[in-house]
Amino acid sequence: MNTPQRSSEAGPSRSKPSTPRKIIHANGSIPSTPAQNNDEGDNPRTDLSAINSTPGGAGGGDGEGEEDGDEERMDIKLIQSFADKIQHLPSTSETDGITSRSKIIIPRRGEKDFEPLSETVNLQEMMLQKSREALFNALVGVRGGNSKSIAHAIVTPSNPYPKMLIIHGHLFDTIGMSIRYTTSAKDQSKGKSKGYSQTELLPEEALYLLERGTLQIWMSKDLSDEEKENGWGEWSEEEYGVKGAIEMSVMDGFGTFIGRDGLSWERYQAYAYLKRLGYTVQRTRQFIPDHFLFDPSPFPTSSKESSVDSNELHPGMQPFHTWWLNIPRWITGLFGLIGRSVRNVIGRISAVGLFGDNRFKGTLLEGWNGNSYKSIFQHLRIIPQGHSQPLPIRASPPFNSLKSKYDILQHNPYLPFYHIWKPSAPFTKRGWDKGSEQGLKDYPPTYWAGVVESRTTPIPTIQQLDEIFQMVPDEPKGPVKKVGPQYIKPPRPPRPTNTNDNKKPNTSSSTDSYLHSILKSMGLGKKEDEKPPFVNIPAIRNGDRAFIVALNDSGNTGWVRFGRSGFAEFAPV
Amino acid sequence: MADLLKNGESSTSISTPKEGLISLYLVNGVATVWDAQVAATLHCIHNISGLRAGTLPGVSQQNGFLGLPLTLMKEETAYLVEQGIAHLIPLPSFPTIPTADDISHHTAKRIERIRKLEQHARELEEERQKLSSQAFEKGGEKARAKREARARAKAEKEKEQKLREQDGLFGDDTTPTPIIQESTTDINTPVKLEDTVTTPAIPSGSIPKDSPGHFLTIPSHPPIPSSIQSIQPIKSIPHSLFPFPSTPRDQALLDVFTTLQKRGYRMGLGPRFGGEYLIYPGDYLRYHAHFTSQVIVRDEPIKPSELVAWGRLGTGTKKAGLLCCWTDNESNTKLREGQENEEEKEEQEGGVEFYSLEWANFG
Repeated sequence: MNTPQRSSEAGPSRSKPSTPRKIIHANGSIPSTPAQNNDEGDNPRTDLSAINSTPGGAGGGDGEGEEDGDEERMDIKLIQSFADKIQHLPSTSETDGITSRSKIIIPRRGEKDFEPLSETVNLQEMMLQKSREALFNALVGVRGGNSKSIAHAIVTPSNPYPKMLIIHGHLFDTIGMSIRYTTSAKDQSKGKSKGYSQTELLPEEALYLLERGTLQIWMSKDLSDEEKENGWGEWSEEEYGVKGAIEMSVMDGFGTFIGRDGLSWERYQAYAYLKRLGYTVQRTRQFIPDHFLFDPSPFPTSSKESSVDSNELHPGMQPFHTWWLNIPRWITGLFGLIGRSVRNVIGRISAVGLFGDNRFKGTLLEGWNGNSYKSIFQHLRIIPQGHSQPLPIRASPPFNSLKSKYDILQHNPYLPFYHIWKPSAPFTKRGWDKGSEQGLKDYPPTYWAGVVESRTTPIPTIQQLDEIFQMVPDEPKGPVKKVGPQYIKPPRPPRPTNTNDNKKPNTSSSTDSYLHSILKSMGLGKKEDEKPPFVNIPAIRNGDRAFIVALNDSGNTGWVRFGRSGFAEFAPV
Repeated sequence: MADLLKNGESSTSISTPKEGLISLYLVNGVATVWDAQVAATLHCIHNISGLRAGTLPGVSQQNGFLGLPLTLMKEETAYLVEQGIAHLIPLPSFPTIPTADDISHHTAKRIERIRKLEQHARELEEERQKLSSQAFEKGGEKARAKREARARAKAEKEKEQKLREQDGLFGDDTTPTPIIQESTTDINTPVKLEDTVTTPAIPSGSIPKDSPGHFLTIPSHPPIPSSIQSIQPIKSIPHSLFPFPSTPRDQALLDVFTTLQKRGYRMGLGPRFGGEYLIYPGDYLRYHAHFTSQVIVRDEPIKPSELVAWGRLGTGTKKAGLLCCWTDNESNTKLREGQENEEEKEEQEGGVEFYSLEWANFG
C-alpha cells in the first residue's frame, strides 16, 4: 500500500554485492517458495548466523542471528496461532471456552517478502490483510478467569500497596510480603490480639498480577472505623465484590504503580519478562520500600533489621571506607618504589665496582636477583594490579541530595534491583526473610540483576562496577550443578577393578620418577618442576563475581552479564 | 479493516477515533494504547505500530507475543501529537475514587449482572448434564453390546483352541465348558461394575451447583470513566509530563522520523540493530527493513571508522546504512563522497538529508 518508488530502487542496489543468489530471492519472493529457506545460508558471511539461528528459531527474538531479532517475529502464522489462543469472554453458546485451551506450541516462522513488487501486489495485499486481521484479533483478548480462581486485594489512597483479601493460586508462594501491624489500643481493649499481619504487594507484583488477569484490585476511599465495622473494605459474597469499593482497571494500575517506589517502565518490564518465564523475582533489600521493612513489633529482631538496613542504605560509602583503609598500603608501595630506586642507584654504583651482576645495567631489570620468570615480572611491575587494589576516588553523591532510597540509582543505575531465582531453585518467602543477610545465605539468588534504559544510559564506569562487585557474592566455583529430573543419572554399576590396570601406571610412574631423579642429579630437572600453573580459561571468562543487567530499549528487554575477572589472579607464569 | 470483535468490553466506547483526536494515555512519560480498535487505526491509517507490552490474556507464560497495552516510541508519540492525530491524557498516580453514589450504583449493576450470569450458567449446566447422561446411556448401551460381542468372540476362540487341544490330547470334555462360562461371567461383571460406579459419578460432578462461579473480567479501562474524562488532555509538546523534544538531538530525531514517515516508510526500534530506527518500505508485517538509520545532528563530524562500522553493520544485517543528516538552518552541510564505500545521495528536503551507505568492494 504505502510503497514508495524509492524503495524499489533501493532494493536492487542492495542485493548487488557479491551474492548472485540473492537476486533469486528478491524476484521469486512469492510466499511459500521453498528456496527461501536457504537464503540465510547462501551468503558465506552469514553462514555462522544461519547455524546459530536454526535451533533458536522457535524462541522468538533471541537477537542472536541478526535477522532473527524482533523484526522477523511478525509472521502471519505466528500471529494467527496467538490469535487463536487468546482468552475471550465465554459466549452463551460455549461454556467450556476457557477450560479447553490447547497447549502452546510456538510454531516456526514463515517467509516475508523483501519488498513490494508489482507482479505480486494483489497477493501481497491479501497476505497483508490477513496478517493484520490476525494481529488485531490477537489483541482483543479479555483478562480474567473463573471467579473462583481470582485473587482479590484492596488499595486506598493512604496505602497504595494492595492488601490481599482473598488469595488463590501458587503464584502467591513467591509474591507478596506479610507485614505485621499492632492493633490499636481500642481494639486491644475489646479483646483482640496484640498484633496482626497481612499480606501486601509491591507495585510490580500488583501490576503483574493485575495485567495477568489473576488479581482483581479494588479501590476505595480511606475508610473510617465505623465503616470498617460495617464490613466496608472487606469481601462480600452477596455483592460479588468488596463492599464500598470499585474495581481497579489495568489502565489505572499502570498509572498507579509505574513510577512508584523506583518502579520505572524498564524495571517493570524486566520483572514481568522474568515472571512470565516462571522465575522467582524479589527486590534487593536495598530497594524494598520502607513500608515493608518497617516492623513495629517490640521484638529484638526489629532493631537488628534496622541496623542492617541503615548500612545498606548507603552503599556508596563502601569505596570510601576502602580508600581510607588502603592508605597504609599506598605508603608502603611508595616506600617500596623509593627503596627500589635506591637499590637501583646502589646497583649502578656497585656495577661500577667489582661486585654484583651487571648484565642488566641500565635496564628495568637492574637489581633483579630472582631465578624465575615470575620474579622478573614481579620486579617489572610498578603499577599495582588486581581487584583488591583501591580505585582512584570518584566523588560519591552527597547524602543529603538523596531524597529517597531510589535516588542512588541516578548515580549508579546498574545497582542490582532484583534478585532472581531459577524456577527450580528452592525458595520460600519466610526463609528469604525480605532479603535479609541470613535469608540470602539460606536461599542464594541465582542472579543479581540491575535494569537500565539502553538509549541514554552510558556503559558503567569502573567505580560503578566496583561498587556492585563489592555487594555481590562470589560466583560458585567448580563444575556447574545441573538441577532437574533430566540430569539425574541412574547410579553407575561399580567398575570391575582390574589388578593389571592398577599396576601399570605404578610402574610407569616409578620409571618416571627414576628419570626425574636422574635428570635432577644432572641439574636438568629443575625446569620440569616449575611447570607453568594450570590456567583455567573458563574460570577467567566467568570471573569471580558477576551480575546481570536488563537493557531495555523502549520496551524490548535484552540481558547482559558483567563478570569481574583479572589476570592477576590467574597468572600463567 | 473490518470492525473488530468488541468482545463484551464496554471500554471501546471511551475513545472512538472518529470523533476527533485519538486518546493516548500517558503513563510515566510513555504513551500507551489500550484499545485494539485504536491500535488498528494507528497501524493501518497512520502507519504507527508501537510495541505490544502487556501479558497476552490466555497465553500468559511467554514473551514472544505480547498484547495490549501498546507502548509508543517518543518519536511516534510526538509525531501523532504534532500532526494533530492524537492527544495525550496523563493518567493520575492514584485514580480518583468515584463518589459513593456512583459506586453503589455500579455495585448494584454488577450484582444484577453476575446473578444473571450465574443463573444462566446453572441452567446450562443442568442442560449439559441431561445431555451427557443421555449420551452416556446411549454410549453405555453401545459399549456394552461391543464388549459382549468381544467377550463372545474370545470365548469362541478359546473354545476352538480347547477343542483343538482336545483333539490333540484326547483329554476329557468336561473341563472346557466351565471355563467358558467363567470367562463370560468375568467379562460381564466388570461391565456391571463400571455402570454402578459411573452412574453416581454424574451427580458428583455437579457439586458446584450451589455456586457455579462465573467468568470474572479484569477490566482494562476504568469501569466508571468519568474520572479520566475530566483530565485535561495535552495537545502541544514538549510538556512537563512529556519532555520531548527538548534537545537539538531530540528535534533531529523527530524531524528524521517525520520526514521518513511522510514518505511512506515505517520506523521500528533500531538500537538492537545498532541504529536509531529500522526503516521498513511498508507494513512490517510483510516486509523486511531496508535501512538502519544513523541520525547526525548539524555538523557533527563523522569518523571514517564510523562509516566503516555503519556500512559493515548494514550489510551484516542485510540492510543498508542510512545517514540522516539534520540541520536546523537552511545551509545544509554536504558529506564528502568518494570513500571506499558507495554513497548515494537520496534527496534533499527540509532539514534532513539522506545518504545510503553500503559496504562494497572492487572486483
